[in-house]
Amino acid sequence: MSTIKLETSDGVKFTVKTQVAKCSGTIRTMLEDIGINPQDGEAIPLSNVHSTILQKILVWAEHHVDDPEPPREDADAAKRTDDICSWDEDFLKVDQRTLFDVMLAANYLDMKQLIAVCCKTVANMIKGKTADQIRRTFNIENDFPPGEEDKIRLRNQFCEERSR
Amino acid sequence: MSEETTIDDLPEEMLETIFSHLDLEDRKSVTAVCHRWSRLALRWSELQLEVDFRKCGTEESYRRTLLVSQRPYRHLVCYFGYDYAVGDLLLYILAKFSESLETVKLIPNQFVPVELSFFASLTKLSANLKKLHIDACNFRDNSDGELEFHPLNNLQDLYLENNLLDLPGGHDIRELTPNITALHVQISYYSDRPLHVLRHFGPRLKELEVWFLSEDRFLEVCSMEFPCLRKINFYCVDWIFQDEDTIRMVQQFFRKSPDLREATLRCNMIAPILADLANSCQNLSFLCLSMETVSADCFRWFSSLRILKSLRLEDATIESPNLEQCPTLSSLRKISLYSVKITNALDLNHFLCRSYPALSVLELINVTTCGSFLYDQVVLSCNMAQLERLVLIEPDKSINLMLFEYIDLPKLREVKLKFKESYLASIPVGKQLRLQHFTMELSVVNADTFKNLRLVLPNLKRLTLSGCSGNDLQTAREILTGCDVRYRRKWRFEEAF
Repeated sequence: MSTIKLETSDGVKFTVKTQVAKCSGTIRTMLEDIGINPQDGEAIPLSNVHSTILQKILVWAEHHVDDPEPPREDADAAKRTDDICSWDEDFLKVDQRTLFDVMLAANYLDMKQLIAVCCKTVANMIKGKTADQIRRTFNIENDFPPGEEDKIRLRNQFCEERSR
Repeated sequence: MSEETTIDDLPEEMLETIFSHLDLEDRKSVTAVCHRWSRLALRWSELQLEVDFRKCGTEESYRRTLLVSQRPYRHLVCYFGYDYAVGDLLLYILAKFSESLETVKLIPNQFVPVELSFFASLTKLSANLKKLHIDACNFRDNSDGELEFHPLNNLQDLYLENNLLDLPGGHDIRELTPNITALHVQISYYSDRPLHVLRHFGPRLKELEVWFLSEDRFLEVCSMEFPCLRKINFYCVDWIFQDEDTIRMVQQFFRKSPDLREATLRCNMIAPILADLANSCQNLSFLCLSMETVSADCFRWFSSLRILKSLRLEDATIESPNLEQCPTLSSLRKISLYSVKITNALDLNHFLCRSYPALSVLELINVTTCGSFLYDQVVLSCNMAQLERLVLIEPDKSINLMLFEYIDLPKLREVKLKFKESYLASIPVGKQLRLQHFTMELSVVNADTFKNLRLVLPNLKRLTLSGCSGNDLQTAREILTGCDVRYRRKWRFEEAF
């Protein structure tokens, strides 16, 4: 089975099955379109990814390497967040810092399925909370001038979801 | 990683993806979190501004808040009350958001005439509009013919349930909306103008919706040419096919529309036409029919539509299908039966299980069966292994609690119930169901109802209630910790009916 080497921002080298590495659109493009030859033994530099995060992402990729292409979902199904598989649910039971690092790395590596499942996880952390609870959950600073939040609430009264 | 990564470090498109999973109430919370989130959440394309002049005293509030709002609303819906004096305020609001507005839906009070000058101003203020919907009302012209209309060149979708097709003063809707591809109109016996309009736009229309206020017009429309049509809605409930000629004309209509994807035909369809429709329109994915009798043959024609995803039958007597005659239709995902009578529910349920193996949504609304208890039959239909969503609405009936014994299907995640009485207190405790989403309307509840619910539905993630008081809601939230308890003012299903 062919392997390639990846080098993270902190200089750690990983030897990875090519098939697993190709879960990343970025690496796939490098190998297939740009023609980087993995046999050369030279590591592909991933300058935006730290070794602890890459390790985590490789665990995910290894688990999902044989996943079929996801079906094209209709708008209603795409909104769902209760369809995260239990393996992924456990995998993403991490502190926020790791979760967001994984998301940034997945973004850089162009891993659509991992991004999707992370976004659903974060959406689940937002659901059912008030603005204040959301701020506390994610440690977000309230940067509204005094009174602005009330105005927003007032305007929100007139917002409805469009019915199709 | 010297500094700790936080949610603020995520790129905007990722936050937008996260927000795309939220519904309206959560989005409203998100807008009040911080500047950045507020801005991103409001880019939501489904966000709609709702202006409701039916409520007293709202005008001042609109003046204060909306006229200074920076939000780029794309969709506006406006309800009128009895006082038409609010028209000016609405025009201010239209002007304010004219850059971003793509959809405007006006629902006037149909007993109060609307000045034609209002419509003239609207055409002037809404140059970017893609979709315009004006509900039932009567426009009247008090202007001595001096009105100036501006063409809505970007308009794609026009819905008129009023007399605007008959614009006075030499004006013509054909010139005002030259580029539309979707048209929704009503046709009556006293004016030929709508027919001219239809004929004019026919070659370019992708979507057509017609209410026939006079069934005499039905054949005239069926004889027109709509070569690009993708979606059709015909409402002609009084129509009756009388002879071979009329049947042939309507068959011809479907032969000329091979690209149809969605068809709603509330015009007493009959089997021979359905046969032709199934043969000519192989791209249909949605079909809604009202017809007197859905015979065994009809199911054969449904099964020959090989990419049909959704089937809705209304106001019909459904006869037993013949399993041997119908090849398996694995594309079908949803069946809605609305106000139908089933001659043999056992046969039908057996057929649904066997012939539609991918069926994931089943909606039964005001369904009756001949000579048997419906819900025992529904229970049988629940052998459907792929069923994800079950909707049962029977406002005139009591629930058969046996139902709860049987709706424990492996994939079922959502159940919506509406029955005559409050029934939940008597759910058999001891049974545990895997359901995650549960929606119900209830009037009489107490703490025990929710305690019961927690025992029966240990996996419940979302409970949506309607018809209960704020106190009940509070009680539900206290008892069902970890479950998202929502209140829904209006009942909304996948489609309005």
